[in-house]
Amino acid sequence: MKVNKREQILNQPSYWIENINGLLYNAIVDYMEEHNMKQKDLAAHLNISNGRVSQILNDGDINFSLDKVIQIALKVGMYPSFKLVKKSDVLVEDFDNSLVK
Amino acid sequence: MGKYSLIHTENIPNPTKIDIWELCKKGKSLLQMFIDEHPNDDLIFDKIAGALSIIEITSNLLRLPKTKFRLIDGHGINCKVYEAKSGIIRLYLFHEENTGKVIVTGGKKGNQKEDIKSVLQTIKDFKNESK
Repeated sequence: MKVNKREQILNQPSYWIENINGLLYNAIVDYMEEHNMKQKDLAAHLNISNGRVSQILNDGDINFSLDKVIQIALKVGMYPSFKLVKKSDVLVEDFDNSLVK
Repeated sequence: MGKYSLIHTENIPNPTKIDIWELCKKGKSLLQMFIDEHPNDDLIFDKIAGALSIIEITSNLLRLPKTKFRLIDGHGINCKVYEAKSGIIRLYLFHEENTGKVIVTGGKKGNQKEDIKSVLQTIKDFKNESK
């Protein structure tokens, strides 16, 4: 039953979209703070418009193409690591975690 | 025995730094009741999963903009109350001292005023019962 609920959530695209958006948002905000950047400095650094930067910082919606996401990650000092994991492996791991809890 | 109880959530897929609970009324999770209100609506369930992802992210001490995760203030309750948003779905939660984050229930865009009022009353009732 526990695995089933998790599986239902993990099967929804929005779960992953919010997760990836959140990771990128944090990387960008951390980079801005570490480098004492303002919004316009970030726009110049990422080579995107002020409007797009505002959209990222205020709405948290990245919604860029994959190549732009990779460019942004590299520009904020991160290597984007992407992997596909078999659903069955994740669900077994989740079940093990639930037993530990 | 009181009307309210807490259960560890099974709706957050991964372990988090801050424990996440669901508020139950008469043994039934209010979040699960909200989820069960939309059994055949794939879009709503997708956005509920998105909002749960936001709760997972913030419970791992990562930051999100206020449009995704905001503090609801001006309620006079002695705890922090939050709203997690994904598309048309909002999930409401509060921070319970020495426990973690407690998901109360969900709501839809356009009905926030009434939903927040109801959520705040539920939290007050829970707090009063816990005294």
